[in-house]
Amino acid sequence: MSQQLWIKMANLVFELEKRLPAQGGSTGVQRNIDRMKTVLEEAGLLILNPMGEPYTETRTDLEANITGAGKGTLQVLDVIKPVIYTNKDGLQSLLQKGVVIAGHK
Amino acid sequence: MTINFAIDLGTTNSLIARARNGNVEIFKNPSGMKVTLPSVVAFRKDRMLIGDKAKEYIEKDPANVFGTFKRKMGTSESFFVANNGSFKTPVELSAMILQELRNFIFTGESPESVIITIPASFDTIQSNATKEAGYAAGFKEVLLLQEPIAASLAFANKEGCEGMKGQWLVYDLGGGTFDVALVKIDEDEMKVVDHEGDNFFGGVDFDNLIITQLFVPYLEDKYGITDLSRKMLSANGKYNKLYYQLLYKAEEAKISLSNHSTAEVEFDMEDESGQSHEVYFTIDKGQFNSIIREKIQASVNFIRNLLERNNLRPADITEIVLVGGSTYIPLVRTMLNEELQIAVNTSIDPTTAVVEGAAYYAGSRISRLEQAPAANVVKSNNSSDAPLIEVKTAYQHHSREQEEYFAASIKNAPVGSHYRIVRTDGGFDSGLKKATERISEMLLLLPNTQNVFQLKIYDEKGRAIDIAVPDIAIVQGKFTIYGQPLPNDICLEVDDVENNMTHLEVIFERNAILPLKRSITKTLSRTIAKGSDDQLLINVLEGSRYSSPQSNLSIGVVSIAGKDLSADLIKGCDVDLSFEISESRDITVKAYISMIDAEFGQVFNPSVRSINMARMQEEADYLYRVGKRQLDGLLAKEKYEESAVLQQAMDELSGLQRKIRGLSADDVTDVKYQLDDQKRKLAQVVAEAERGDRMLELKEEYFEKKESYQYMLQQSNDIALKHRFEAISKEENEWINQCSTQFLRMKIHEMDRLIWNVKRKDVGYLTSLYLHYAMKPDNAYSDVKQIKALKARGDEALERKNPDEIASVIYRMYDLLIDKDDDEVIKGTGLRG
Repeated sequence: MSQQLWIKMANLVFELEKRLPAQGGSTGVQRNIDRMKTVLEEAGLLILNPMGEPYTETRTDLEANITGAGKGTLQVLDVIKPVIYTNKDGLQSLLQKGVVIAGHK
Repeated sequence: MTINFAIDLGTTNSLIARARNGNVEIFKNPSGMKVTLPSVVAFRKDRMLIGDKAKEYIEKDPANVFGTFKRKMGTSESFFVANNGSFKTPVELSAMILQELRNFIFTGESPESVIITIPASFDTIQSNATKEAGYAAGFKEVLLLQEPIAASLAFANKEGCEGMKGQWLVYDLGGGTFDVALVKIDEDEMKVVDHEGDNFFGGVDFDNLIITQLFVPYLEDKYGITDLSRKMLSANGKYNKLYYQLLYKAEEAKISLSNHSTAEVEFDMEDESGQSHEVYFTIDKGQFNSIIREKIQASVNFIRNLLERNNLRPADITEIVLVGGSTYIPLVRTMLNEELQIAVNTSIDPTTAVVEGAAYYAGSRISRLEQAPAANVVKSNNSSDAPLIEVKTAYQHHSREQEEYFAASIKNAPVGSHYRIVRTDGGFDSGLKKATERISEMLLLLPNTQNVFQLKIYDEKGRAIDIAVPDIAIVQGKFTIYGQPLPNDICLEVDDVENNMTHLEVIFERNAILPLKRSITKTLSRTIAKGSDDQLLINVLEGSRYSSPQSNLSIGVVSIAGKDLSADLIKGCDVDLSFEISESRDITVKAYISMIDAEFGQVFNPSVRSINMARMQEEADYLYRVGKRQLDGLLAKEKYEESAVLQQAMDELSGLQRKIRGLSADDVTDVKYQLDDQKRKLAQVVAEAERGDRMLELKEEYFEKKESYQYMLQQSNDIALKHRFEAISKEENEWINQCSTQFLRMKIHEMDRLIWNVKRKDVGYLTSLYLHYAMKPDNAYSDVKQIKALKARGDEALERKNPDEIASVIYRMYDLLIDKDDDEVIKGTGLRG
């Protein structure tokens, strides 16, 4: 499977996980999601969810839309796409920037 | 020497490319790997950001972030930077974009000459200002090329001598600007005859139309929200976050609609009462076309004006070449064609056409500069008077924090120089900061890995200065990376159903660094009935993965007994296993069986060994059977000397079997540990005898199979299979001289599977295999009725010569075959390998 398809799959798994709490959560479904994430890891993808992390302008792993005044300490308020790294021969490199909304909580 | 390098210095985005042997390579931003760099510069508190990061702040910090300055080139206007009280001219800002683009060149070259593209509308002053920006960025020779000419060159080059005849239009619809130019070849020279444009029309308008015309009315109506547009667009409005979410979704939908008839949009939002909703919205091409038609019609009208002004009819135009990302939209293409009846040329990627054409031009233009040796950096001691730059760094090499403090002293940095720290994986960039004598930075760390950063110093023209600063390496989350590796493989014992034995599957490799965590999913290799004495074993062992399970040290066993089950566990059902080893080597094993929704788990401490008596008994019995067969073989061959050691081991094994049977399952003494040690030693003796007896034979079988597989691959030309074969051969060196017979049997089986994957497409082979099974008497199978039905199905499948159908019948027949050769079977763990 091409890397692009793996990334697509990673984004879908991420969305599924993000949506789960809204559906009342389910340990069974969460387990299946965890299994999917394991498969993605085996395919060499490291998927990170930056939700709630501080946002700074040095974070080139994130593509941010800044809501509100955009001053002071910002935080990741919503994650539209996760950050994806790949690990090849022990070298990590950024595959997909996380698409986030940053602002004040 | 040709110039080779070209830059598309755009109003919204810029690109850099290089011509090499008639081909063009477009460089990507090392951070994010995009070819485009937003033409935006930000002067944040203590650092300068260029490109994507700067663009993020353009609306929030307009006093310090500047874009679209290309429109002001050649004017006396300058931009006041509130953060540092300085003024920046459009030339200076453009120079910064050009300097940043130079950093995209990963080949180590540092071009001194470059072609920079300019709009057809640029007058002499604006053109000179662009040149000035090029020189300020450190280029010594700058040649300009008009954008429509550059794009036309890209199309002409694509189509060879067939393309670009008569006069044509270059239609350039980018993210935020629109230009159309009339181009023709006059006395062998390509010229822009006339042009028109709109600086405030582009793809972003289409995104906004999707929001205002489609999303907003739908959401207002469905969730009773009033004045949603205003609430979204106000910086402190309730729905400002939703606006950015929708802007992203709108762009995604727009891109999707270029290739599909509908686009599904999904997002979450809260209504006025705070209740959250999942919104599913479908946009079809018809809806999208109807909202953008008016805008595109306006661009067609620009073309009509242009033609009218030049006394031309559409029929006088040979074609329209499309440039700019927004020309991917199908309606743009069809409307231009339908309204003007002019052929539309889409043979080049519209996003990169300008820089591509400019690079072709650069590849043919001879530089007038005298040749200097290619150097990607400025030497730190360029001038004999200049003192050497000294950089001393200080930081923690290991960290548990998400970010780590870094400090350095820089001595003798030239006036106006900057430094920049980037993480080599592309996830962190400090931006350009003034290279003062003492610098500091908080470095953002990626979890549980080694983070490598590079510190570079740039002169006032943005060129890297050649100084040797060692990489900054910080290991996050793993204090003990150099001190606490695993001494042995940690393996899981799994069943090799086809060979009626078990083998080891590595979970954590030797030398892996603690702590470690891994999840795997296995299927059950046999049914375990509720209430039965049977058990599913998760047996974690320490030792070489190539040896037999019986000779490795069991460090943790989770047994799930039939009597603990709420329902039967059916063969084939999934078991999720997770393994964790802490820094102090505690092992946590968890098993979740989805079929009965139950979790089993245990923590094993390395100082407390865990022994499963039932398992030890099965293993001792198995070892006895294998040893007995070998002993009989040696005695039959009258090899009395060799048999003596084995005979002694057999006597000990027999004693071991008696002792195990005599021990209660909950014995509290150390006896069971002593017995386990004895069992492992005896397993090694049996394995050694087995190696001597069978190894040569098994190796021959393995290599024969490998050879025939290699032969099949040569015939098949399947690249993926060939790569896999190469990987297998490479890995073979690691185990071939130290593996157990079990491991080798597993490898033989793996080879069988590979051969089968190739052969299963061969109808002739499948037919003979099917006949082999079909010729066996019905009572050789466990279910006579089923085998009869399968034989009938198989005969029909043979007539149809369908390989998949024949193969499926063979699989079923194989499953039903009663295996009578099970003398040496060890009862497996229940987990299929």
